Amino acid sequence: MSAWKQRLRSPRGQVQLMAATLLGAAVFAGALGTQQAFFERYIVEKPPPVEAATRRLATRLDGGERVDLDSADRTRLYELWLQEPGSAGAGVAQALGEASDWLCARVERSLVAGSTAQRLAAIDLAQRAEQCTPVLDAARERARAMGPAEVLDALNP
Amino acid sequence: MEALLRWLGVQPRPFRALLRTFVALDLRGQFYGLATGAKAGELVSPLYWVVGQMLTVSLLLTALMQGRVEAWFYAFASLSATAVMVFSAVVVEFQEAAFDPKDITVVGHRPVSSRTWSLARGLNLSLYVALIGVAMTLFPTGMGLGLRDTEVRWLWLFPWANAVVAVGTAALALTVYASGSVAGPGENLKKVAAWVQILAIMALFYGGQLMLRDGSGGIGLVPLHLDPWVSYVPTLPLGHAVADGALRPLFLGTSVSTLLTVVAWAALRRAWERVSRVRSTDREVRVSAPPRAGTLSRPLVARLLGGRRPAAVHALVRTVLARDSELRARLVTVLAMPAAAAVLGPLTAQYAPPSQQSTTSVLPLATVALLASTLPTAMHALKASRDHRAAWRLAEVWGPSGRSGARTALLSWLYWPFVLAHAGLCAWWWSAPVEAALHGLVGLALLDFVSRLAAHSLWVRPILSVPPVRGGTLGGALGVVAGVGALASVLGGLWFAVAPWPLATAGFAALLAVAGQFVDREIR
Repeated sequence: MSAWKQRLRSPRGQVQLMAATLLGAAVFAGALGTQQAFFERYIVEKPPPVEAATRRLATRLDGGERVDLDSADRTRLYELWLQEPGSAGAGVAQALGEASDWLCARVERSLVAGSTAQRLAAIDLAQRAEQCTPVLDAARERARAMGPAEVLDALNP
Repeated sequence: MEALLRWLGVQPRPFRALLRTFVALDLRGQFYGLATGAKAGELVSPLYWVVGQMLTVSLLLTALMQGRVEAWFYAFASLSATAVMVFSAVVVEFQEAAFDPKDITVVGHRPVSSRTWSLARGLNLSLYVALIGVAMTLFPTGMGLGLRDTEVRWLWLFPWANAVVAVGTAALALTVYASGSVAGPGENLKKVAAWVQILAIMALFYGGQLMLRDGSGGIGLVPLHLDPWVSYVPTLPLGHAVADGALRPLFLGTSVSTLLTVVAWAALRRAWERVSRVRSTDREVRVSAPPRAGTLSRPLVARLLGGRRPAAVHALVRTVLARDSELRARLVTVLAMPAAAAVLGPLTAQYAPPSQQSTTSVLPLATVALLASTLPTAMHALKASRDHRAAWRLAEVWGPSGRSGARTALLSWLYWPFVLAHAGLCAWWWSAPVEAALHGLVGLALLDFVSRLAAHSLWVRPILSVPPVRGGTLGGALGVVAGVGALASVLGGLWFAVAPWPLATAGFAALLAVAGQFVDREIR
């Protein structure tokens, strides 16, 4: 058996191995702690691409037409709002706001699991629909602690 | 130091000798193998792997939460993980680290006071707990400092709170056991607790992926909707205290932990004195009969396998599987990947019937292909047994018929139930029982073909004949594992191609069955 293996087998060698591992883990942990931006890059909702039918539905709603929306329609419209904030307007916000519980749960999810742009879009939608005040209040507290500043600015009255 | 020990009523020289012995035993002892699966011949001691497992749990947990939750929840979850890990570690290694009744036969007749012995044992346990505590502290401390809502004080507040939790949990476990049963936790509880560490790693790895992939916000929403009972968990106020820099709860926690430690030491002393009064030879020893394999099905098995010889090997392997828990554990763990695929697939809506030929219909086939690719690993594991000295019984009957019996035993014990359960899951999920039954049939044919091929490559010498120390790694089976994995993938691809047509799929299954027979006849 080689000398280093024999050394590793001894109690002293085991202590040294364990100390080296813990030291390496401490350095690695410290290095990871400086990479917050790396972890935050992966906090983003990934909705499927917007379909042409969804855009047409949004146009009809923004044009003032009255449409009965089911759950799938609402989800697709919300995803359109997240991905292309400019392509839907007050009609869509009003239609989504009619299902306030659903909208608040969806906005809350975007506020914790979405990117900064998606959070801003969700806040805009909730404010236009004049819904979800408790969710926005909780998000304001969270943004005060965790940022980012743009989200806090958007939430401040 | 000596003066302090004397002031405590402890004999310094015996104390140092006992502590040195206990620590040396910890560093090279094999008892930590229960929680790690490490074997006697390995270069690195099982205790090292215990620390490695703690580091892994802690790294996975913190990486999962990084940037997604507020600091108080980050601290709460990390402290709770420490409590669970320390508790499981103390339960599993209670006799070795805290109270071994066999100590009485070694030091009982020597002039060692109960105070000296209990302090040495208590300190030995403290070192063990400190090691686990440090392993569970490093990642939350280092990575937590990078959170947007933490400040520099996190660097000392979190380790402090973590130490409070680790010491408090260990002292509580020690108090409960030492004041109740001096024999410590039962074997079943120890086995369950030993699995906690492995299961925690798997739950965090796969569960974390599920939470990140399903897009429902998962971990970020948890702190916003905590159940009311969580407010009674002691680590919650500590988590808030760490995040807010509130010192009062931390001082309170420290006082409770210190008090518990003193009580634990007193309980340990009492337990030692109680055991000292009982001579070891007076202890009642109960030996339960080992489980025996049934014999009723043997004539049927002999008929199905084509002779008494393969039936005898089949019965022998089933008996070993019923008795050898370590072997069972080694075999069951190879199913982790296909099991994870079968659970994650439906949960992430990627488990459509293969006949749909979409990207979401690949996983049901991939699960079976993954299952087939684990066969060489399981067959290699079956080469080793703790009863390897009795394998001469197999040498007489080893050959094509022996291989057939062993192969059927392995398939019927582990793989067929999986395929059938998977077919049941598919039938329920797809609402298409006929397609699911066909899926199961192809799965059985694929396993049959692959197992025949692998058996000829891996089971040249009788199985169960190698000491387990060599069965822990893949060793010389790597080539077969890679080859069979590649073959299973290719066959999975072919299966996917014919999946839209039920008749072609049934023909594919028949082709696999014929190919299996061909392999048996040609290689024999």
